Amino acid sequence: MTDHRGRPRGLSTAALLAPAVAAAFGGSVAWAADHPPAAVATPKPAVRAETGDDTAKKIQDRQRAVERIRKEIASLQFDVDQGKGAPSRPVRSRTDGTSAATPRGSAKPKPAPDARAKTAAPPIHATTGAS
Amino acid sequence: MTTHVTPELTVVFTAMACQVTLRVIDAGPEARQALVAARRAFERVEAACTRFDPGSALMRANADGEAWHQVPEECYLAVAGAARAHLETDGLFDPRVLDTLVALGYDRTLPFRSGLVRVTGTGSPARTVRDPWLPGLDPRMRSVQLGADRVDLGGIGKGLAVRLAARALAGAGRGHLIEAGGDCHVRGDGPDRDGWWIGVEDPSGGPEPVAVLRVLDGGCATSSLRIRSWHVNGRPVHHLIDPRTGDSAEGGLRSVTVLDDDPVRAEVWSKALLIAGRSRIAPLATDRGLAALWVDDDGRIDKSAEMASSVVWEANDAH
Repeated sequence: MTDHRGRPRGLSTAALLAPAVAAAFGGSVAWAADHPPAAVATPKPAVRAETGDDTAKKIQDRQRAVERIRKEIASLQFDVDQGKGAPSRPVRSRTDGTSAATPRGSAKPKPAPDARAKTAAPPIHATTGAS
Repeated sequence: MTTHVTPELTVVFTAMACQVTLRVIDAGPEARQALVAARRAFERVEAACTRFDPGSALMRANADGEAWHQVPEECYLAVAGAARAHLETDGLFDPRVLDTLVALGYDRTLPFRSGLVRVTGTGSPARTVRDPWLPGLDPRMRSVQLGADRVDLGGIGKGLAVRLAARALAGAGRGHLIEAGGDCHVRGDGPDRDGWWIGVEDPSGGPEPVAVLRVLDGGCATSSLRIRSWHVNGRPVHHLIDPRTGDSAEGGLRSVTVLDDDPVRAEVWSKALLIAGRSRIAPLATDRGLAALWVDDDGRIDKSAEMASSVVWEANDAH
């Protein structure tokens, strides 16, 4: 289900957006320089005491983000090791328009059966899930 | 004399509200005809068993459940299969959920893939009676008598279509893959001769599978809450109805995947185990010798002993 094709597209989009964001930011700065702030009291931002639960959740979220990125890197490394920047066959779109299964190429590593994930998911032929 | 072999033939079409892929590897001379027959199997099951066409064989039989109705073979097989499944699962699988689905606002095809669906309905359970379902079945006349409660054959219909399509493709080549939403069937040792590798979708919608299964011959089905969930009168519900409550199952599971030689049985048990819930799934799968893998509401992934040998990769947890 890793959308290998999605990554380059995502990077390209980021690259295209970067100048526009920079220009917009620059414009804002220029506008702000010409417009001194109005003499109104800025309300003090509400501060909420962070509970232990909040902190634990943040850590958990970040751990999951790290895990996701780690998997993505492993998947990219797999492609690089295979000498390809993208899957050898076209990736089919699923009916819900989300990313599709990664087709299996002819060469692939053999993960140990029933091993908990230390690496990204191997290429697959089909997906079973909600329909 | 040489036998002509085509490396691979693939057909993709839409049926039963999902995209269907039929793939034959090292296709023989009869493969094209077999693919046509397999596709026809889906079309015939859909036409006979849809609940969204009042003129379908199922809905005509539902309209007067106390009368006998001669029906197409596909409808007869689906009703007979549902009756068998109802007994085998001790009632966890119960197709008498149509009126509940309608009460929950699922009385038409809903645009589940376009975002959160909000509908209105009575929102209340339509049926909680616990009497066993014993439909009338007359194989000689190919007739059925469904009984007082209207029946939905959606899930088991798709399993049946996969089973019939698999039969049609049996001699078409060195192997085949049928992929129809949550239901799959494979035959042979796969394109790379090390099996067919099937990813189990993350029911939370994450991009990575929660597991990858290696399957040689047989069916695979997943019941999941990921897509067919909606809000009725502001209340979140989904399409997997627990016959014990007459409402959406709330057993603490997000998805269940089952492997079985027969795709109908895989479909039936994936649904029944999800309805059984987190507290019962492990002992029930063990007791019935089922190869099952499930994801609970906390994202934890677990599996039965029968499934372990088919898992070639597994995520740490679902997100």
